[in-house]
Amino acid sequence: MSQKFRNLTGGNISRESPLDFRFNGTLYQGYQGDTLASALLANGVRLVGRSFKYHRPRGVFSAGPEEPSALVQLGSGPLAEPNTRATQVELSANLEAFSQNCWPGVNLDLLSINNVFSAVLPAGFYYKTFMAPRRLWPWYEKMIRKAAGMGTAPDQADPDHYLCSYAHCDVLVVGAGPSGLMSALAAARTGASVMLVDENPAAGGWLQRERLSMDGMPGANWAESIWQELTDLPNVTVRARATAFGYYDHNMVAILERVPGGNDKDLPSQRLWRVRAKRVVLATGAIERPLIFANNDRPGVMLAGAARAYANQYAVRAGSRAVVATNNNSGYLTAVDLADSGIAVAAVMDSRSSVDHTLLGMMEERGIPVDIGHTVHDTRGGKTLGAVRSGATDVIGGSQWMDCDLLAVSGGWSPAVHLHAQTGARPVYSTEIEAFIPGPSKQAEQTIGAARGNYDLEGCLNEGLRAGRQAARLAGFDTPDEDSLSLPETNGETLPYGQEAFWQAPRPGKRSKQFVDIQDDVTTLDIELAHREGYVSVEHLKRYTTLGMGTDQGKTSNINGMALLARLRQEPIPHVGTTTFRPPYTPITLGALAGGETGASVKPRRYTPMHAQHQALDAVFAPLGLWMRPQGYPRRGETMHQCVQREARAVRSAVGLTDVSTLGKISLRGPDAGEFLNRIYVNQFSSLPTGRARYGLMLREDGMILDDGTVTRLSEDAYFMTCTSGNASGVLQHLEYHLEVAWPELEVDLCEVTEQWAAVALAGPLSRGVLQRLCPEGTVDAVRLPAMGAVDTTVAGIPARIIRISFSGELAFEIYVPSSRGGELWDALLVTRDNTEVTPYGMDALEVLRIEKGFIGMGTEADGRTTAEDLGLGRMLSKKKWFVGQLALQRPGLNHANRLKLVGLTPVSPGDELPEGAQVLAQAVATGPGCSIGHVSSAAHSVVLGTAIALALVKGGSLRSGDTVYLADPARGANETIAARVTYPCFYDPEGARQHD
Amino acid sequence: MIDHSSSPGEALFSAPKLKIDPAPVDHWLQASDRTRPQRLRESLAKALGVEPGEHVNTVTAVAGGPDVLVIGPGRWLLRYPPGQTLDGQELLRSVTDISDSMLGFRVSGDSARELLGTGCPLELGEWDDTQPGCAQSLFHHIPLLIHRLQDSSLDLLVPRSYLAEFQHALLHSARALAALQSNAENG
Amino acid sequence: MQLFNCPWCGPRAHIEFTYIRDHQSVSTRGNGDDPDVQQELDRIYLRSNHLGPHQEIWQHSAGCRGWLRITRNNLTHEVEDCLPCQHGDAP
Repeated sequence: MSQKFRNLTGGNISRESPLDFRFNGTLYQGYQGDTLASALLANGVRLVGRSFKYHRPRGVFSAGPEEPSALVQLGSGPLAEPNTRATQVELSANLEAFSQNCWPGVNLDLLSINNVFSAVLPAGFYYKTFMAPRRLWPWYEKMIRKAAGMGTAPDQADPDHYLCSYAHCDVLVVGAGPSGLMSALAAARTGASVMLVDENPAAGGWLQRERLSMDGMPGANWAESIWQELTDLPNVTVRARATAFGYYDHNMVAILERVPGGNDKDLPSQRLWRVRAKRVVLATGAIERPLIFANNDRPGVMLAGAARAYANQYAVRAGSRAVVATNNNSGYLTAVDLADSGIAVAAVMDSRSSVDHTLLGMMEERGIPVDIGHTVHDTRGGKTLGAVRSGATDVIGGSQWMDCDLLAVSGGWSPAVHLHAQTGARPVYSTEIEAFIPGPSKQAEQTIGAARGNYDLEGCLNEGLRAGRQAARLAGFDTPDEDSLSLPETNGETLPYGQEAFWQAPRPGKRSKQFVDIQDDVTTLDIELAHREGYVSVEHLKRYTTLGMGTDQGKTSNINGMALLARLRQEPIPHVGTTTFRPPYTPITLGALAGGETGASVKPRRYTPMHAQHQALDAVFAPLGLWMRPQGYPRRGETMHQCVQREARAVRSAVGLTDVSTLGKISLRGPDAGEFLNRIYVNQFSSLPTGRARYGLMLREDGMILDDGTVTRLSEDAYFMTCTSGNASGVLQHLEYHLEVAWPELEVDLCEVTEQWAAVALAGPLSRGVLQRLCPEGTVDAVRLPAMGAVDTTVAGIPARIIRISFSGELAFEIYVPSSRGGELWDALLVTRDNTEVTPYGMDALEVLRIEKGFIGMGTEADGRTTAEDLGLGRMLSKKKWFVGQLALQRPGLNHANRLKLVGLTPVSPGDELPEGAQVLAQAVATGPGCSIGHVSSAAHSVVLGTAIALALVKGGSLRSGDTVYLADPARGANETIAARVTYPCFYDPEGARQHD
Repeated sequence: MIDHSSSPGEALFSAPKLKIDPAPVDHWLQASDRTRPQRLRESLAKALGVEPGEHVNTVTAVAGGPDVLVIGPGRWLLRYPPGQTLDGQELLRSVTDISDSMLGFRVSGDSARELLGTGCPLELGEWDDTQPGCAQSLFHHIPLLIHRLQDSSLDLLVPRSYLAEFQHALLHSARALAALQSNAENG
Repeated sequence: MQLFNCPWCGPRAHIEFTYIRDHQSVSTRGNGDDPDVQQELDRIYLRSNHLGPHQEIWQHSAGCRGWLRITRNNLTHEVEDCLPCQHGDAP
């Protein structure tokens, strides 16, 4: 359990807090402050996983979010997190991690046989190989999917929970490195509200990884002190472990914060912030590029900045004998820091033609040879690095092998322009630093520091100060004159960058693998292949080779890939350009996006005022849009079908009660209300007498039916409208649109009162008797309340409106009371003093009743493609006035003889069912695609006829009356058609005698 | 002005910086006049003795009477304590009783706004804490009316049918915030 | 998440608003005078779908329920202005 590669002193880890963890089942120890990667390296664990396609050994490559190789699965079971970058995992007590994409294990991976077949597995191989025989495609696909890939997703529900928050601030600073810290501090001093976020657990950015001194203390300590100062300011919010992953419209930035674990079951594991800032300052730093040479993917090959990060921040020696290869001055920092941490540095390979003599002096001091004009050509060593072959940059194959177990490479630094580019801004290429830097801003943001290509510490601090003040000023906050904020003292100068582009070492052999994208196993051969086959656009290169498509989104590979493509195209890099940057910057959990809106809470459910009553009666609920409505009230031992038949029969023969509170309800008032209704509905309403109700149809402007409903006239200027439950907000919007935009001169006011009123329908031949006992004498007698009449009265002492309309075809009363008294009304109606049984009935029974009567349903018969004429309601269209949709109804397509028209259907064999949604055919066997002449729009089992019945939309409609048609239902597995007879679309009391009197 | 100091029933949630109680069930009227809002405003001024506000999202308190919330152009909500209502027949055309339409919670404490921010995208920082105010918005997908009271507590009201889901979402956020706070304090 | 500056409520997140229709398709017809079926169908179905600023009718449905005419660039999402759309607003 000893950490063989941990130095006894140094680093920003807490040696007084050791932590046990397991990797692939083996127990190791690390410290608080470690990442999983640094802890593994401390224990000498180099082999972490296997690559995507070729299953080559992979280890730790970087020390940050750009990690392409060290992908592990954290945890197991429902809490498992695949594809986690070990370099970003904070070590915690009893952490468990596993290698991915290898079987049976990372040390012996049988699928590494893929590497042997790599010649037939280049980029795009699945377009060329595994073609024949065709019947084996499903098997090929299964095998290919199994052989390549990342981790395994958990297959159980996520037990963690997540919190979302909206936040607003004047200045949002992304990144708490030196530039970001100065920026946040400067902005905070003006009194502006400031938010500062950083993806790491501690502030400082690259200050944590370098041995710089500021204000007489280590850079990391200076950063901590500024962070603490900011934490204590009341106008500042600081968040660590918070990755700004997406930049959205109008200056909204999305941030994912990881909450370090606790035992509280209410503690969310992650918090998603949606921050709207007046100004954003992006201080996101820069990411190092690797060099490209043969077998540059071996565990032990690592970014130079990462090697020194492990030494300085974690006190970990990433190897015992190292070689450094570089094309810029920062490689020398690595050589110095590695040597000072106890690693033998065998040599520095510098691809440039000349090197600053100060650096040469530093190397001589430590006895490290420098080979100028040299680079690494190849590596060898099995599962981890054993030796490197170096040589002159222009000589193929190199000249000498050197033993080493660590190769630190630096191909230069690329500013992290991702968030800036997500705004739609185009990064521009800087030949000075051979990298893309931010271009003109498209949103209210500014990029500073290394993210803008400024790699000088004093320069960064200066920029941060100015940018913070400017952002605050643009947000309306001026710097107070007495502000004494000054820059910290920095010890010595940072080295100039000094990069000379060197994109690719010569390829030793024809088939040598020089990796460009280490995660997706994309080599220089693949890029050349793509170019040869004509995929010359950078967007095509990406898709054809998968360069930059992994979980790292090409952070260490895109620029190198673009440079290689530019060379092949013989054009400058800016002409090749970048691919589109899209959020998220690093992978995010879907659970965090969902927040609490999962399971039953995906959409908020709505409950009627009588929900408790329905529950007490053991109702089975079904959703209708957002509403939860009783489907039926099955008794003990009843199937749902039996329940529905019983309920429907009770309404036809005695009396039933149903909850219709979900109906949309709108109150209309004003001298022009009648004229308004005339224009909206196809039939007349201005002539409706007070105290009467009328069924109406409203159309869309294209002539299709929008909704049906009932309007009751309450007085000269006041109407009460009901509309379909599912369409309430749509109808309200339709009405408001016409009043506000089309006819603003009409004096009408609307008020939606859907929630104000609870409503029930009491229906059946005995309904009047039940109601009479609860109302003032005579109120609901046939004379006082005729069919389609309305009255305001009381029911069981509750102020109520009663409208005599029927959706079931029986004598019926719709009763409206204030919703706080809905339960009271329901209870009063169910309990009668003379033993009349009032049967509660649900949606399904209601469907049976209305289908028996041939009443149309919104969404079934009126599905947005049917007109009033199609549904046999053409007589409702007024010829005396204009209405919305009238003109469009005149077009030939809506008057065509072959349109689908409403008919009824009964089965030829009485025992057959008529499936809803079945296609209607003119012959018993389908003759091929396109022979359907219609479909079944609603179906039920009739209590009146004792057989199945259906409403259907069929070409020719009533012209087929008496004909036999055939219903096909192949989607639900029916092999044969069902014969049905076309009838009039009403199966019961077509004159409507039972609801009138 | 109605007395908001007492709230019925027991608290739904109680933590050092956050308390959630049921909102009092008051008498609500909606008054609107699309075409001639100024005329309605004058009529209300006569009936109430105080001119209702003109700017959306402001609240005017009427001594011995209702709180008048401006929720839209030409649209006011009058919030009366139970038992009180508006006198004035001539206004009845424009006035609708919506007392039964809304239910909700009263949220108070330093974290009240943070709680609201877990589901509502409204920018609250610009609100003047010394003045009552109102706004309509969403909490997750639920339509929400916010009535900020004189003492800075927030009445959050939703359509009656959404109450159960609203309560569930609000409590989920409240518990999460309380857990985050104590987690941060314990380091 | 876009931000619209409602003339009554101030800046609000776009999830509080409902897109209604393009302003090109607005009609103030209230009667059957001068019926021209083809013109009506053209109004309903045909409009310019250019890249750039559009005049859009939105309602602040979860806010003040006011009606707005928003000039918004359908490529960059830049909002040029956000005006009340009341008292008649035919193209």
